Order: sequence, then structure tokens, then C-alpha cells
Amino acid sequence: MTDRTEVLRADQIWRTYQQGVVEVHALRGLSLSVFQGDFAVVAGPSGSGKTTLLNQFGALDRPTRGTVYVEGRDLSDLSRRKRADLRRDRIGFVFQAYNLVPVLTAYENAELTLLLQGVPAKTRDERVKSLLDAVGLDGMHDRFPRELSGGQQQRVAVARALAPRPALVLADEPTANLDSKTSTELIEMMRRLNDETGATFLFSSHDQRVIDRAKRLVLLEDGQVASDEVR
Amino acid sequence: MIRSLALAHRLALRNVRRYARRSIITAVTIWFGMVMVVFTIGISEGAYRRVVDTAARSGPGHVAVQTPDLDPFEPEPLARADEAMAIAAAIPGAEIAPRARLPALLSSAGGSVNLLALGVEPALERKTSILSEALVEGEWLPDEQGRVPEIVIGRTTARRLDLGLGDRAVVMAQVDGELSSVLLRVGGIFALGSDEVDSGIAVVPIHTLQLLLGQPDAVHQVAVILDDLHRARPVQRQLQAALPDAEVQTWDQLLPELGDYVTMDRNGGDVSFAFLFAIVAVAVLNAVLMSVLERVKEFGLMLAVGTRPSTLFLVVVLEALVLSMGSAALGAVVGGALVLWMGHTGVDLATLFGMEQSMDVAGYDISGTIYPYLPPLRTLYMSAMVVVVTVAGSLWPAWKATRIEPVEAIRHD
Repeated sequence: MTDRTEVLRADQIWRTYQQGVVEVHALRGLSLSVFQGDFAVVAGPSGSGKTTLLNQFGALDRPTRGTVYVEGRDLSDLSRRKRADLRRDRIGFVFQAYNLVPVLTAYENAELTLLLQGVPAKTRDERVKSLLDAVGLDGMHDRFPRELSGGQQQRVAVARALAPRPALVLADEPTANLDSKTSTELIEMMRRLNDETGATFLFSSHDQRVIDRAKRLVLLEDGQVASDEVR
Repeated sequence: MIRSLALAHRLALRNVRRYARRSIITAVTIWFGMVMVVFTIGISEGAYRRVVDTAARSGPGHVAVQTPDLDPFEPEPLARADEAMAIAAAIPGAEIAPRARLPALLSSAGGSVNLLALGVEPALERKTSILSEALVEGEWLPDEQGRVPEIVIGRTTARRLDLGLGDRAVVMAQVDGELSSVLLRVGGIFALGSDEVDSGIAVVPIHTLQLLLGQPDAVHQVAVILDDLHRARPVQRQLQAALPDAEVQTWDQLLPELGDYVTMDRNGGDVSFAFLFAIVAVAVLNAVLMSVLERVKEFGLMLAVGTRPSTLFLVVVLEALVLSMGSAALGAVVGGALVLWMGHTGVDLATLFGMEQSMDVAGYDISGTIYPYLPPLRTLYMSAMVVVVTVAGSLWPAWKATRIEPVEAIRHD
């Protein structure tokens, strides 16, 4: 495992929230590395720190203590702008509640990150269309999120995450709001993309179907890694 | 930077289009503000034009050619007055009226008053002076004078001297240290509504006044009446260049109190506009802030997927800019069309504001109907101000949008 390129590394990170006068430790000195081509799931009970960990790796949040590295870059000193650029260029996100921009069509949502990157129109068009077709949304490109089912919206989110060809896709409970059939289809689709493109996927989930299909399972308990199993 | 701007512009246009309801509400607010601004400018500028025109036509004209440093009490005749009249008359859209001026005492059996005896060419003055239109009794000076020349006086003077039509009065003045006088018959009485004019001016044939002065060809002032008040300055420059030995002044130099009044009133109007702009700014700030607060999740998501805070800032500001430019332009067009139409038909202030049939502005009485007018530069400036104010109103909400924490925003409902 250590021979492969390290994409993510959390080094003794703590994340502490203040709730009134009480300090809540979501992460407690957690250390973890994620490697190129991983299809890994971070599992654990509610409150174990799964989402908090993904937010740290996604440069969406800062640890209270410790250091997070993305492709070897220490995130501690990055400005808001540099963190935005990192997310734009290197990380694809799939959130739990199929977060799409409501006034953009499926096509435009998938295109958004490419627009931010300044990718030429022709390349954008080719890439977005092929991705939307690949996730099974052929013929639905011009639909707005409200005109799509939950599963279809999540597929758009996956297309958006993969469009800029990121080094890493972070998916926070991507199947949480989907029915069983749609969940299975979605996870199979991402597994296929992982096999075909070699993109690194890191999920947080307690969905058994996701856990079963993962190549690596990291179990969290009380903000720490309880086990780390490569399958 | 250019890429960010282009992207932000594209996203902003799309947002304006797709958040149609909110865009329409914001646009209507700006549009209404702009129409109000344009309409108010139109009404006030129309009133200024009316009062200035009234004052200029009853007094020295829009532009006057006169002896340099004309002493109102001992006026010196204008040298080469014929040449000045010929040059002024050649200006397109200009009517001229030569005048002789003499501070005098007008006496009757009822008493005497000091006033300015204004010697005029009756025929020319009939075309240019508003006094001939303001007659309430009798008639304007005839072209040919009888044995006893006629005089036209103001209603206040008539009342003070107990003079009526056909009554005789004496104009007396000191000329070269000697008292000189002429007997005249009251042929007409005017009432302009301005106490200054109605009690301060008496109009006599220029020839009569020249005889009284002992200067048969004396002309102290050539009044130039223009078809458009706003041509006063260029015409003044043109005449001054052609007549370097004379003094050429515009109405605001000739009637400095009136010029100051217009400037002061316009500045006061600007203060009112500042309040109106502040209201528009607050309305826009409120609309944009609401829009940002309603879209916390959307903006948080955009930040999460890598939109730079500066780009998001631009998106919000550009949305306001796009809306304000469109609305301000439309407001200027609609307001401008309204003012243009009213400028043609006239606005009866009595109907519009429930005012009396006439009102006093800077000591001049103007009739209840005014003709709104829109100076293009001022309109353009105010339109630009509306856009600037709108954009200013969007800055704080835009900054707030950049401070959204993506982690919290994507969980926001």
C-alpha cells in the first residue's frame, strides 16, 4: 500500500467544536492516508467524525490541531482563495443531499466547475455530455434539478464531481437519501468509473451496500480510526 | 481577472433571468426610482425655464449686449449699437430688441414713484417681450405715436399713482445735471405677478426716451431673445467674440439673484435626490441581501466546488449592475417619454399638485401650466447615479455572500 502515491494525509488532526460551554471533539488526533486509485469508505456510527473528516480532506474546514495534506500540500496556510482553487482543480464533491444549483440545468450543473476552470467551450461540451450519458442521464441534460428524481440528481452531482477530472472524489453519504435500487446503481457506477479512470474515491457512509463494494474500509469510532482494512 | 469577470457576468445574467420574480421586483424598484428622478428633474427644470424665460423676456433678454460696466443709474449708450443689432439679428433663432434705459420719477396727481423707464421699439418688443402678453388693461404701445406719447405701466404702479387708462403722467429724470420731463398718456397696464416688475418698470417708446435723454440714437442695451434658453451661453460667447468692445452677458449674469435662486434651488433638489437615492439604495440592499440569504445553500455550494470568493462577489454585484442598468435605462426612457409628452402638452400644476392657478418663483409669478424639460446631461448623470447607488447597495450583501462557510451552507435549508 505504501508504494502507491499518497493523495491525502491527515496527521494527528483534531477538530473541536464549542457547543455552549462544552467542547465537543469530532476528531481526536486522527491520522489517515488515502492513496491514488483507492475506492475507500469511511464508516462508523453517527457522530464518529465521518463527515468532519471528509470536510478536512476537502479543504472545506480547518482542523483545530494537526495537519492535512492534499497531494503533498499542507492545507494549514492556504488562503480562502487558494483553498477554493484546490477544490476546483483537484477535488470533486458529492454531497449527501444532492446539492445542485437549483436554477441551473443538469448540463449547466455538471459544467459549472469546468466554467470555473476556464475550460474551452468545445471541450466542456464534449466532456459534460459524455459524463451525463455515462451516468445514465441521456436525454435529461436540459432538466432542472426539480424535474429530476433524487437518484438522477445525485448522478448529476457525480458528473459534476468527475467533469474536471479531479485527483480525488469525496462523497459524503451519497446514498443516504436514495432507495435501495438507485443506491446500488450509483455505487456500481462510481466503482466502474474508479476502475476505468483510476480516480481516487473516498466515501463516508454507513450504507452496507456501499461498504460491501468498497476496496478499502476505514472504521471510525469517537473521532479516531478504529480499523483500516484493504480488501 | 478578465476570466473571473466574464464568468461572473455569465453567471449573473443567468441568475437574473432564472430568478425572474426577484429580478422583476428589484428591477421595478429601480425603474420606479428612475422614473421619479427623471419626472422630478423634468418638472423642476420646466419650472426654471419658465421663470427664467419670464424674467428674461420681461427684462434684459436671455443675452444682452450693452455698454461695458453699465451703470444702472447713469447708463452710457452702447457704441456702434446698429452693428451690434445687425450681428445679433443674424443669429438663427434669435429675436432682438434695442432698449434705452433711464432711472426716472413717474408722477401723477396721485403721487410719484421711482422706476426704470424702458424705451422700446413697440413692434420688435411685441414679438419678444412678455410684457406685451401680460396686459390686463388697454393695449401695447402703438407703432406710431400721437401727439402725447403713450406709456405702459405695471398694475402696482397704476394702483400707487391712482392711474387708469387714458390718464396722464409725467416721466421726470435728471439728464446731464438738468431735470428733464415728458408728458405721457397711460395706454396699457400689465400685470406680470412679479412685484419687482409690476412696480419697477414703465415702458415707453424708445424715441420718446431718446428725446428725453437728448441723445436721439441712444441704445443702452440690445436684448437677445432665443428660441432655446440653453443656447444662451454659446450665443453669448459668439457675440462677445464678434463685439469685443461691448459687454455681452447671459440672463444669470444680468439677473444674478435669479441665477443664484436657480442654482440654490437645483442644489436643494439634489439633496432631495440624495434622499431618493438613499431610499433606492436601501431597497436594493434589502432585495440583494434577501436574495443572498435565500441562496446561502447555492452560494455555499458554489464555494464548495471551487468558486473563488472574489468571483462570487462579482456575481452578486453584477446581478445588481445588470438589473440597475437595464432598469435605469428603461426608467430614463419611460420617464423621458413622459416628460417629453408633458413638455408638449404642458402640466397644469393645479391639477397635478392641487396648487393654485399660479405660483411665485423667485419673485416671478408663473402660470399654473409649466412645460417640463429634460436636460440630457443632467438626466445622464442622474441615471449613472442610480446605477452607482444600486451597485453600492449590493456591495455589503455581496461581501456577505463571500463569507458564507460552505460546510454550514450545504446543510442549510
